[in-house]
Amino acid sequence: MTDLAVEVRGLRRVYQARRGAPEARTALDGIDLDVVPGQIHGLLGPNGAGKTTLVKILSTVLLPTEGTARVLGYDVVEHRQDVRTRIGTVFGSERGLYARVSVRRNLLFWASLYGLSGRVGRHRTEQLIERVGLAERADDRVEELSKGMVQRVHLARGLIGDPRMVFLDEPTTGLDPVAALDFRALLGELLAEGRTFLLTTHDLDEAAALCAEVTVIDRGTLLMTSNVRDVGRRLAAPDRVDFDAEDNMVLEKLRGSGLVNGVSELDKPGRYRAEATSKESLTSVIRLLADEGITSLSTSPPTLEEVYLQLVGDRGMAV
Amino acid sequence: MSGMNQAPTHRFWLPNRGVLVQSIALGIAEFRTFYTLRAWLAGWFVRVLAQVAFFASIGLLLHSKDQVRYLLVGNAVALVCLEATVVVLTMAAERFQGTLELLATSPVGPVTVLLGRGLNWVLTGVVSSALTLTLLLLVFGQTLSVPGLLGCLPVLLLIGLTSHFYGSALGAITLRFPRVEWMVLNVGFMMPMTLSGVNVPVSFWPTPLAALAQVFPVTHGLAAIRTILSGGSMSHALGQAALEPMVGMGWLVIGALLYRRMVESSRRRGSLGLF
Repeated sequence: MTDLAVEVRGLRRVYQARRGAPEARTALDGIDLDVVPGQIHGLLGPNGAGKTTLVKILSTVLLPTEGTARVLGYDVVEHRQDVRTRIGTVFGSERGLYARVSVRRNLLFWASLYGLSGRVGRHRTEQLIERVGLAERADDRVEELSKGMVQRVHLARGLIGDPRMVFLDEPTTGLDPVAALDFRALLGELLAEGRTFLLTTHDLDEAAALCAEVTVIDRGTLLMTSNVRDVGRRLAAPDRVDFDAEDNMVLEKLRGSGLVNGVSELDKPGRYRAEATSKESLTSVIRLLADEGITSLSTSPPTLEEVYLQLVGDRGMAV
Repeated sequence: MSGMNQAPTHRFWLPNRGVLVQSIALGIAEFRTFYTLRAWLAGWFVRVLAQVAFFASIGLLLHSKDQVRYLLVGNAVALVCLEATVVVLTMAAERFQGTLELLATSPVGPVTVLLGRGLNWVLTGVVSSALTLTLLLLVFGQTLSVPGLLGCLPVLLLIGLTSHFYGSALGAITLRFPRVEWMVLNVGFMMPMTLSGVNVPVSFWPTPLAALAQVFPVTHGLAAIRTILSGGSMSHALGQAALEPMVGMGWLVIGALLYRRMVESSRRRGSLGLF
């Protein structure tokens, strides 16, 4: 049995043609993925990339067309019941809850579906209500809560069976920045309890803030998996030099040197960014700037957003 | 928080009592959000009273007190079936609100899920039937015995449960064919309404249809209630009533098999979470 929380090999999912969609559509095309236990692993990609399809297969909602997927060592097809007792799923919308009834009633019901009834179910429900900060709204109907609060109810529902593996499908979609920040802080706390999270998102800041590792997928294909800090280094993206310059001659010289892809002005007047063509040329760029008497300079790797945009190209954040 | 009990693995055929209790509580809580007692009395109960009175009044047109009683009892008892089969809509609503895929992939077996949701309609159906029967027997000047009425209550509950299992089996079909739930509900309810001895005796129908009536809810329970209300032999009534849960168990098995098959088919097609 493997030590990985999620182990996916050659996973393929094809949606067959049906009325209204005359052609078969490949949502996942031979994905391999490893998720190490005890961390938040980000699944990044534009809408339609295949993120939700992957989560649905891992949570046994959907069957794969080809390939294998194991969650906590259990095959999602052969041992689906073993998977189901050990996972939680959190959606990023108002779907998945009984909106007309209270937070407490929802959680009591879902607790019973995980074999927690009577005193144990009540205890677990109260514990989670307290944990997600909804003690004062526990008797309110879900439909009366703000989106941020509804998302916390989703999280509580996903945790009701005390899962070791939690799938979060775009959990902060539609939340205002404060609620999203609040939700992320809560996830950070839950991570300390030893759970593993697979977080699908197209919010790069969210992935950068929460995830130890990030997998980028697009059009059903895995583009890369990497530690968030290593993303820039592992890509062939050019490194950058930020510098102050008062003389346009320096900029012209730099542009004509063949060492940079481009030079752009930053927000601050007189501050520029040069993107070196390669790691090797970066040293030459710094030397050129120093020869021109520029000493106020700094280098930095590309941001996750820049890497992401480079990988998925024009599709970017398309919805 | 870690270290809680691992959720037990449930067997396919083993209903989970805790889920049933919580499911009924959830159903009642949902019911109370769209019905207050006043709204139920004015909005629903008056409607079913009028419906049953309409059918009973056909007996008045025929100048037959027996026909009045026959139509009144049949249509009042059919109400519990009408309400219990609303579970078809409950199952469609689960899909619409995104809870179906969570229910279908929860650790409990499908029989528990099938049994659990919509059971509140059985309880309200029994109340609707019992109150309508009592009130309209009085209004139409029919003989009424309190022990007889009390004896009808458990039979009404049996009819309600059988109708719930029947409705659940129909609801399972809508998992494969969404958007037809109203048609399935209406056709599904009209079958026992037509064949099960509500307005005309089962023996009125040609032999094949009369035989078909034996496997629908209401048929045997209604026959038992007619026996009880007419002061007939209790052992005869018990024999008739005993057939009702047997029909119910049959529909439960069909429903569970259909549900499992439909869920697996939806997992293959990728339509479990779609509406």
